[in-house]
Order: sequence, then C-alpha cells, then structure tokens
Amino acid sequence: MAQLRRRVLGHYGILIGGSVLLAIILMAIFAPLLTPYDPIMDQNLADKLKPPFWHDSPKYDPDHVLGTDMQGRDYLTRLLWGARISLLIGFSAMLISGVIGTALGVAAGYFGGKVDMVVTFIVTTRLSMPVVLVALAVVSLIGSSLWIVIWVLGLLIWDRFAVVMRSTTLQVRNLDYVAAAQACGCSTFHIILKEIMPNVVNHLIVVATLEMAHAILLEAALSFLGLGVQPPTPSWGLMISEAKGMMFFDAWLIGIPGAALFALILSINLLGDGVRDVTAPEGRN
Amino acid sequence: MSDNQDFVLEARDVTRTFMISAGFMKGKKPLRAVNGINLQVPRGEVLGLVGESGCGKSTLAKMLLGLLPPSSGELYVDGTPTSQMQRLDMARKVQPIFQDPYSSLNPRKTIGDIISLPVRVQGSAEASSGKELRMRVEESMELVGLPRRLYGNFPNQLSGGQRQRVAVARALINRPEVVICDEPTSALDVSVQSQILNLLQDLRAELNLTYIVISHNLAVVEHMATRVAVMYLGRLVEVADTDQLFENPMHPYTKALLSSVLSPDPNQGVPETGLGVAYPNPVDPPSGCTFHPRCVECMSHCSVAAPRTIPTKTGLVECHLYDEDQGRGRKAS
Amino acid sequence: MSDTILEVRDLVIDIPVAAGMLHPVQSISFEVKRGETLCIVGESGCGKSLTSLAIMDLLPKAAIRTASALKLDGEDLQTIGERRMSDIRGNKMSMIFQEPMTSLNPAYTIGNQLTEALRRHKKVSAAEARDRAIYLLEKVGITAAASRLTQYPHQLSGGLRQRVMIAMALMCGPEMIIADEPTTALDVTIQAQILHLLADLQDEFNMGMILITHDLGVVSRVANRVAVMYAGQVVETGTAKQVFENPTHPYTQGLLECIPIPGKTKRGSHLGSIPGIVPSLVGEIPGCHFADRCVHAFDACRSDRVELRDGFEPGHVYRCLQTPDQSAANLKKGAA
Repeated sequence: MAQLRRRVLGHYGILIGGSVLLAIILMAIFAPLLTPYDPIMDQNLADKLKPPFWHDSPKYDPDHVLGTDMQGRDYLTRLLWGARISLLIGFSAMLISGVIGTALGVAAGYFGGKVDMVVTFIVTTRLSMPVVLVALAVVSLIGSSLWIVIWVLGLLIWDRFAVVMRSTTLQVRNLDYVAAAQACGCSTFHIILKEIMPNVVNHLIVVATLEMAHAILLEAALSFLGLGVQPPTPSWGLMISEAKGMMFFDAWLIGIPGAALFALILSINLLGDGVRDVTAPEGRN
Repeated sequence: MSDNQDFVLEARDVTRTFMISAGFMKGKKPLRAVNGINLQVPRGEVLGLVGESGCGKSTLAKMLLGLLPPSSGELYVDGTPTSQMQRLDMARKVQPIFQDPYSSLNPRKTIGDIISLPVRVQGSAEASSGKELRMRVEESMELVGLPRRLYGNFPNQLSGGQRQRVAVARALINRPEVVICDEPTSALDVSVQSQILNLLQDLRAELNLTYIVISHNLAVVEHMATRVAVMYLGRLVEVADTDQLFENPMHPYTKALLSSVLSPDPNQGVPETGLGVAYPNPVDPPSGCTFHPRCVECMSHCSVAAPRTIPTKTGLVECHLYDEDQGRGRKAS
Repeated sequence: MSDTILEVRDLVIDIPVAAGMLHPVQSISFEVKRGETLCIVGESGCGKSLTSLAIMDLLPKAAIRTASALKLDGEDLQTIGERRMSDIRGNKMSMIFQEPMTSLNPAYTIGNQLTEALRRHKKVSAAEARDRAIYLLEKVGITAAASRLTQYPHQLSGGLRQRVMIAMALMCGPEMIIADEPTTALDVTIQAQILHLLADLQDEFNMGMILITHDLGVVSRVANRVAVMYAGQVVETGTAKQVFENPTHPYTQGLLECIPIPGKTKRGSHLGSIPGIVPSLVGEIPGCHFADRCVHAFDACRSDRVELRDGFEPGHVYRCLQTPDQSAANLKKGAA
C-alpha cells in the first residue's frame, strides 16, 4: 500500500491530471458559492460583451472577471455551471456505458462459447454505427434534453468497456485461482465478483476515464451542433457554439470554454494514463 | 482386488470428448481427451498419474474435481456418483493443489482470505463468526508450517515455497478425503520441492488422505506413489503397484518413459528412448493401438486392432504383447 | 585456433534498483573449450541466466557489466562495439532460449526465420539458405523438413518448436552455443531426444556449449564440467564426476539430497531439504552467502570473505571454509 502511494506520488501525470480534475470538480460543486450571479436569469443587455481581465480595455468591469456574453450574463458563472453539466454528462454516460459494457464483456470472457459469440456480434454491430450520426438522429427524432443526451451517449459508447473487459476477463479466467475457487464450490456469481473483478478493475478504471472524456467531448460536439443540451442551460459546447459568430471580434468568448474543455479532457486522460502506469504489472516488483 | 474394498474414488468407463475445430471451414472434429477410463482408488492410496502433455491427465483431473462433467461414464466419490452430488459436497471431499503457486493464489486477496475461502463457501456456522474462522485458518497454517504472522499478507510478499504451502492449507482446511496434486512441485526450486514433498507425505499420514499425484517427473511419482497409472492418448495403458511398475514395466510406452528418467549419475549418458516419432495429434489418433507408430515392439496387427485390457498381478496393461489371443506365436511369455 | 573458445574472468553484473545496488552476479570465472559442455546449475535468482545474457551482451539496459576478461575465440567482447557484436550473435555464438512458445515470431514462417540470420550474416543465396535449413531440420530430427519451412510456429508442437529453435541456433555454424533451460518446458521423452541431439551436433561441429539448467539429472548426464551457482557466486566447480560423486560444498550436498532418486531414495521417506531462503543480493553480504542456510556454519562463515579453494582432485574447487576432509565427513554424517 505504501508502495502504491509512493508510485502515485511520484507520477507527474497523476499529480497534474488529478489536481486539475479535482479543482474543476470542486469549482463545479461550489459554483453557487463562488459567484453571486445566476447563469441564466442574470441577463443585462447593457452589460453585454464585457471583456475579461487580461484585456486592457476601459470596458472591463471588475464584477465580471471573465467578462460577459452577448446577453450580458457573467461568463465565469456560465463556465462554472457549464462544468457541472459536462461532469454530470461525462460521469453519468460513463456509468451507464460502464455497466452495460462490463456486464457484456465479463460475461463473454467468462462463459465463452455461444455467449462470447453473441456478445462479439453485438459489439460488432455497435461498432458499425457511427456514434455522432446515431446520436444526432436520435436526438433530432425524440428531441433533446440533458437526460436524453446522457442516455443516448451512455447507450452508445460501451463498446470499449466490452472489448477490454472481455479480453482481461479471458486472461484471468484461465488462471488457477479461478479453478481453485470453482473446486471450493463457489458460485459463478461469487467467482466473477470476488475472484475476477478485483483483478480487472484497474483496466476498468483506465477505460472509464477514457470514456468519460469521450462522453464530455461528444456532448460538446452535440451541443455545438445545437442538438445536445438546449439553451439557455450553460454547457461548454453550447457556449462555444454561441460564440462562433463572434470568433473574429471577441475571440475570448470561444477561447475560454475551449480552454476549459481542453483542460478537463487533458486532466482526465492524464489521470487515466497514470492509473494504467502505476497498476501495470511491469511496474510491480 | 475384491469388490468390497473401500474405494474413495472410482471411474467407470469415463470419457470426455471436446469438439475441436479442424481448420478453416472444415467444421468440428471430436477429440477424445479421456477415452473410456476405468480406475479404482482405495482410501489412503497415492496414485501417480503419468503421461506426456496432451495425454488427457489434466482433463481427468478436472473431472475428478467436478470442474468438468464426463461426456459419458460415471465417477464415484465415496461410492456416490458425482452426477448426483451437490457442488459443495463434492468440494468438501475432493480438493486440488495446482502446479504454479503464482497463478493459483488470487493476488488481490490476503493469505487469510485465500485459505478461509473453502470454509466460507460451505456456509457453516463458523463462517459467520470471524474469530472462529481465524482460528481455523491459523490451525491450517500451522499444519502446513506457515507462520501465523502471514495471515494478513498478500501472495506477492511470499516465496514460492510459502505460496505452495498456502495452496496446501487452502486445500486441507475442510479436511477433504482426496487431494488432486497436479504437478505440485514442478514450478518450484529444487530445495523447495523436497520441502513440499515431505509436507505432503506427513499430511497424508496425519490426516489419512488419498492423493492423486499427476506429474511428468517420474522420480517424484516413484517417491510418492503407492500405485502408478500410465496414460497415453486418453487411455490408461498400464496400471500397477509402484514397485512392480518401476522394476518390471510391461507396456513398451512405460518402458520408454522409465528409460527417459535422468537420475543424477555422471557415469551414464542420456538414454535412447526409442520414441522416435513425435506425439500423435489427438484429434486424429493412429489406428489400432494408438501407440503403435512409436512402439519399438510393434507387430503387424498392432495397427489394426485396438488392444484389450489385460489384468495383471497388481493392475492392468493394454498391449497386444500380453494378449494370448492376438499375439499368439509372436511372443511366448 | 586455440582450444579455448570462451573465456570469462571476474564477470560482475550490477543493477541499480530502488533499494540500492543489486549484485546478481559477483565475480564469475570459467572457460569453455571446443567440444566441451559446461553446465551452470543453480536455483532461480542465482544469476545463471544473467550470466548467459551478459556473454551475449543482451543484458537489460540498466545492468552494468564488468569483467577482467570476456573473450570469444581470443576476441575481446568488451571492446568490439555493438556492430561487431551483432555480427557475432547468432553467427559465431548463438543462444537457445527456454520458451519455445515465445521465442519464435508467430508472424513469419519457420523457413523465413531459419534463413534470415544466415542470409544476413553470410550473404548466401536464398536457395543455399533453404538447403541448409532443410539439412539442419533433418538433423534435429524433424521429418518432412521441406514442407515445414512454409509452416508457422503455431502449427508446430512444443517439442518441434524447440527443435526449430535449435536448428535456428545452428544455422550459421556457431562455434559457441548457450542453451538456457532448453528442455525445461518439454516432456521427459522429448527432453532425452533434444539432449541427445545437442550432444551429437556438438560432436559433429566441435562446438563449445554452456547449458544452463536447474535439473541435476540433466547436468550429470551431459556435462563435462559443472559450475554450481548460489546467490551470484560459483560455489563449486569441477568435472561432472567430481561434483556428483564428491560434492564438497554444503549447498551442492544439500541439493543432491533434495531430489528423490529412483532405486536409491527410500520411497516415502523424508527427503533432505535446505532450510531458509536465498539472501537478498542488494548491498554487500559479509562472509559466505550460504551461511544462513548451512547446517555446518560457524562464526567465521558469517564474517570472513570466502574464496574458492581446491578440493581433493585438481580442477575441483569450491567456496567454503571447511577442508575437503571435513566436507566429506559432513556428507557421510548426513547420509548415515
């Protein structure tokens, strides 16, 4: 345990990714305490398009550190509330897809044979569908809301979970300790839960971080196209979309949510890579 | 052998067939990994099971453990057919010790968790009380010579020999009647091997266990076993008491196996086994006696008719050399 | 041409690890003559495999190799540089690895892998290389050699793959061959055949051979000379007869008592054992490395530096503070 802590603390990817991600999560949680404004209601067209603090402009208003958008809403407030949306969508979609993918993958890897054939077929079918196009089609057919976006993404991006869990389960399943547990009379459920899962969970964490980042990016893309989260809900994708018209005049409008998205995705990926590094077998003594 | 003897394990005409894909677009072919085996193991015996890789000894071991049902035939544990036994009853009576103590212990569990698993699974009253359970685990650890302080350690903190002792402790905590030892020492260093073999010998005497020792190391089998069964391509080709088998092997395959044992003797070279041709493909076994292509004493009818099982003084042999009906005139014995 | 093909003097391997400096091999010396087989025997972690990798210059990057001499056929392997070394590897000196399953590349045919080294080192035509491959496959006892060339490794059984590995090691006609546990993964029946084959080929090509194994039976049957290694040091070396009939180091004596010998060991009796575990090789060990596990150890064993000393016969040396007479008495006592 002490050794694991030492390796985690010695890994820059985990340190940087972890602290950035933690900062974003904390800011999202405490958004109402951090800014006095409401992200939707506090509109003031008179205050619209105030520049952020690094612009040496007389229009800069210290009450709006990151300026305001076209409706005069505080940009920092919208950014913080947008982080809530991104994290909520990323985490929920990852959870849904993780449950589906892990169940399918572990079942295929453990039982093999016909179960494996069926699962492999389902995975192949899923892989033949382009995520963005299917998501667009579904959203445009049944309309859009936060929870529809979450479910659509969750039901679409479980493929990597299934593929990775299948192959790792397959490896672990053939080890003697699984046979020993069977010979003790353990139930299949017990074996999967107690003998196999603890040995594949590190792979699961890595895939989970990747898929969370994936889901956040997909949400941004859908919102950018106007088919994701609907205005006036603050979402980073939506903010980028709304700012694209002003791209050449007020570049910071698109730059700020873009940079936030970049930082979030990078931190999650760094963390995922780091987890893989410190739990990889070659890193062990 | 009389019928009223106490057989703790018995196999009656046990066969296990796997369907193996024969190649791209060629469909599937049956592979008889275990092909009509009859075997009786009296209580307290150590049966050595020897044969080359692919002869079906591991499949037989899996069936004896209840991990794999026979395709046909029936196995009996303590006189009860295994097909009518509950999983947990079977687990109480037959337990395994595997070859590689690095893969037979779950790396994410403590030694205490690993050893107590068979008790917890049985769901007895003790399992609910942690103290009682811990006492039983420590008793089992003591039995196999593991220090109690290792209770909370993880397998990667133990040496290979200690790990194998953990595997033995886990196998014995419910006091089974039969222990299937699949190559119990071949993954261990020489100096550790002898410790595990000594331990197994002591435990057998102390707990009146029956062992099935599967090994390709004939020196180990000779040392441990009271009876030896030689397997070739899914059949038992010779079964005999250990003395009998090592002093007076009958089947040509047994002879070849014995001659390949390299005991440390600098005055001898490497022996010639005479088993020139490689092990046959079990999906497509040779006709007649499956051993005939490699047999130095092969006769003309060996490739035509499969040999019958011939009872001997202490067991059986399956070879035309000893069958007076078919081998007439070829070899007077 | 000198008689000695490989000379190793004071070979030391150090590997820096988190806890300090690991000394897996500590001043090992031996030489191998043409046509001679040296067996290095020892348990896991004694440094036998690293020794062979050091000779082939295939050590992991972090490892530091030093030696006062490391010569193949008079050529100093320490100074020749990577280019010349890769010219020697697989050509003048080749290695047979333990795992026939993983040492062949699954993506290439047997024929491809066999001829590749020869064509690189010797600039021969494809047809010539193919002929040599078929010749050697037949030599190693593979039937229908020509048709095997187009097969892939997964189509061959373990025994056949190990034979292919041996044929591959012999393609360029090496003068020195290092076999690391060549038969451990194989069935006993195939083991005998492979060992036969190696001996025959060695006679035919007058190669020097190092055979690394933990199997004392194999060692006694094929070795001319034996080096017993323990915790990074050679603890006893001599001819196979000297070492097996007059084991002098307590570790060698202990090892020989650990294995059951059909016909000699009483069935079911207690086998000898060596208590304790191998010491950690991180940092320095004062005194004898085996002292903690040795039943004959006395105080000086734990403090004094122990050097190799002569046994009863010339050429038989061992690393122990006890005289040969004392050791012989210990052995007798143990047997009684």
